[in-house]
Amino acid sequence: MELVLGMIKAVLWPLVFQILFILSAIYFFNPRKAILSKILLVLAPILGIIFSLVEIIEWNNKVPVWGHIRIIFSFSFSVFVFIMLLVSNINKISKTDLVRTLLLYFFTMCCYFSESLPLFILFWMLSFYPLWLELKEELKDLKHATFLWHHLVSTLLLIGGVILLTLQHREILTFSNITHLSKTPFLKVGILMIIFSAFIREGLFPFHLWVRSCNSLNPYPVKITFYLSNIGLFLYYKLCAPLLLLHFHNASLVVTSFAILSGLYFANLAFVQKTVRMTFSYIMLGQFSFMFALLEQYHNQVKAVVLTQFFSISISYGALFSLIYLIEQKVGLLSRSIFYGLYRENQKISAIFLLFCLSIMATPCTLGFISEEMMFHHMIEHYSIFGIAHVICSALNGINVYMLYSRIFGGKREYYYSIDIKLNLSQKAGYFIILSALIFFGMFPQSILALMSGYV
Amino acid sequence: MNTLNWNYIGAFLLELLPIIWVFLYSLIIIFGLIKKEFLIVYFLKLNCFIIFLLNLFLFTRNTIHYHTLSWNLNISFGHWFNVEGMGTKLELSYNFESFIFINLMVFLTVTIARFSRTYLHKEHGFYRFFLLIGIFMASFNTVVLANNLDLVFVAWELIGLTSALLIAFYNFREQTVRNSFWAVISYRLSDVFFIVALAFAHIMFHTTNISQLVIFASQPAFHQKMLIFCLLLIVGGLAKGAQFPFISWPMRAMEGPTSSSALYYGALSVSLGPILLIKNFLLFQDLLMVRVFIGAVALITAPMALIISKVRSDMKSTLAYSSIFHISIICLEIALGLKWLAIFHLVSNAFIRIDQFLSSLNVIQDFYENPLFFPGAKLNISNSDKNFQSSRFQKKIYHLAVNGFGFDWFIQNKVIGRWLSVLYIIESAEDKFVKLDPMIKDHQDENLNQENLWNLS
Repeated sequence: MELVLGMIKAVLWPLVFQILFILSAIYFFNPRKAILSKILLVLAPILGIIFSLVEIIEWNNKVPVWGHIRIIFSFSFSVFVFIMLLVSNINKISKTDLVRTLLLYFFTMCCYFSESLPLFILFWMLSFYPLWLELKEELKDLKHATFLWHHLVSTLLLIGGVILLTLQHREILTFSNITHLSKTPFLKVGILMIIFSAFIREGLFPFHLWVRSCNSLNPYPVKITFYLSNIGLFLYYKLCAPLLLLHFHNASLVVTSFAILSGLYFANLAFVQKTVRMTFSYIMLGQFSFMFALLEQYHNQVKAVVLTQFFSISISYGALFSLIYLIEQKVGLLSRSIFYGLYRENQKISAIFLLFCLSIMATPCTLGFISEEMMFHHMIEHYSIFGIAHVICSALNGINVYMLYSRIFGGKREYYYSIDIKLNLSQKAGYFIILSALIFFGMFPQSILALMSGYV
Repeated sequence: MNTLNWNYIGAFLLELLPIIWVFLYSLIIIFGLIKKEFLIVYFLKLNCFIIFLLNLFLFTRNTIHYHTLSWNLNISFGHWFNVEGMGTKLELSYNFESFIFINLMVFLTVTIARFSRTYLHKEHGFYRFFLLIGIFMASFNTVVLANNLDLVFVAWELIGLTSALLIAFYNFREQTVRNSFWAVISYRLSDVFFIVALAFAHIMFHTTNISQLVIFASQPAFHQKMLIFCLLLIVGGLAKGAQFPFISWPMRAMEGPTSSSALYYGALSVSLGPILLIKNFLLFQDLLMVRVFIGAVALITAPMALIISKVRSDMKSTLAYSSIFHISIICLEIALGLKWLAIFHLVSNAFIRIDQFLSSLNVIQDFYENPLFFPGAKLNISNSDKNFQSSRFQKKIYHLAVNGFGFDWFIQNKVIGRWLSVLYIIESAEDKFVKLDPMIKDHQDENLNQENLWNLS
């Protein structure tokens, strides 16, 4: 019976996703069925959330069919996409943007749930397709596109690495059988290639320039969804971390140094960005880099804390970027050198924005505080100097985030017309859900920490 | 019920009441349930009154029970969170010192609430002000009651946040917002030491419970580690008390409403440094090095604060710096082991400063309406300039003190300025690299043009 249920779970859910997407694609180009297509498109992330929740609830009893890490990533990403659609008010997003975002969501989910590495690579490449479509419209000459060659290199590195690993194995590699690989001269090279591929995808220093060039253009919603899919982090967690533990244990310090260097670089460089969105992007890049620094440690506590932090900042940034999107729709590109004085007419938006900022700043009573504080302790315990660097970066990020908040909502107004950003019901509901989750788990973190440590 | 249970319930309620107030008040603001300003103030006063009664009840009950004033209740409510042995406990400690500090907080908050009701009447941000004061009250209460440094840090951070938001209370003025940045920078930088101290305690002593740390402090084998821990903790607490080298930010912090300035920089927030020292006094009472460090910082800060208070041209800054001067003296008293004198000094300083801050608004009117002065008398508002203009040395001191002994200038030009100039070079290099793409450049230029047009309109 369990086997049958397992089979249903393993086959049915991806099937449902696929049918939904095919249906929505059919309906999308039929104007008469516009409402139905929108409903179908929104249904996809909802199903993703329900699917992940069902799996999470069952954790206490048994190991889920898909494995825990996939569920956490898919849950965070589904929540992000759902909230993104909800708060971005889907009617206002153009049709093409909507389809591309959801196409990206579909390929990312397929990446998470691919068991064999060739399939994973296929979806990895396909996940770039929606972004490529968008960029093709925005850029006349793709020869110069920074992101294009970044992703070309990252994909080639991934393919090369997997080929090197497969050379000695002589059968299709899967995420579960990589632990059976024996030591060969090619193994270390293969692992290194895959690690660098993950670093490029996740935008670690010095491979972050594609994020910069992407965000200089319109970052919403496709590009931000592309970054927050975190496939690079997933690849590192699922493939590189176990291989490093088995064959290359000394390399962990190198990975940590790389991650800390990235974190420091991004925290500092965020201060000299010209626009608000770029500053937030750099802070986000820095915070994700620190996860690499801790993921190389194999203690159960650490994994639980990192996953909590991942959940917290994915959701916070998702909501924050959507808010910036709403504001930029009204005000135009937000520069970080100007005081916009939006507080007076947008007090509620200002409060919501501040609460997301506080979660990112790791202020007490938000989920960000719990996870980041525990990350500090682990980091200082294992690498004191790196730990102190992490704390300093967090302090710098906090100062920067507060400055951004103040510049958007504080200061003297230089315009004489009203900028009243109104939230509709779905947007209010979306923000309310995220804020409630962040504050509730910030006040009572035991449930989420137990859930995450239940995985490990 | 036996004594222990009553103490348990009392301490729990004492900690919880301000938090409940903040929660309910937030709901009131969100849903707009109460529109009358006076009701909000009465609501806060009622909360303060219940806290006062509870405090009195706990104190009287335990003093009668133990027949002495040196009792100490340690109450644990279990884990706040815990992952495989790593986590934080909700532990409170209630003693005579807590009784004094909570009463101090209650009396001063009620005074400020009453004053602000008329002072901020129909002010844009009236409700925000009381929310921030409520959070401050809950946080101060937690700092006083917590027996666990993790909890102290939680409250510590929230006080910093409310302080910055209150400095930027009149956030429609650009300079006000800019000034709040300085407070955030000071708080965040000193918090780095606090966080490292906490991590150090977790790693070396496997606890942040103050009672357990005292046991470690009494063992000579742990003196070295305790020394590092105490130094980190004390440096972490310096910014709140505006002690050297974080002495210049209160000059910029006077932009907020007078009532919040009185509460924060005159009375309670600046006293948090000494309160932290008093709470952890047993940790460093045998560590001469730590006491010398506290004394040295106090001795450097005191003359600086005194001179700044003499040369400032505004009343609020003058009062804030005289308060900081007294805080330095209180720290010196703690370093000398005179804990009870320090507590007495702290309480009296807080009451006097609140009175001075609140009456500073009508000082000119008070002078002319004072029947002791003859008609036609003139108020000498600023004679500080003359006092410092007699010799060349005095002039130099005057100029230094007016600029906060050059700390702001040094940090802004020599540290932040140089650091940013290096970062700008890196940023422009990155920009050049990315702008290989001609369309991205066009897109950015287009946006910047839009932005300029928008500004001009």
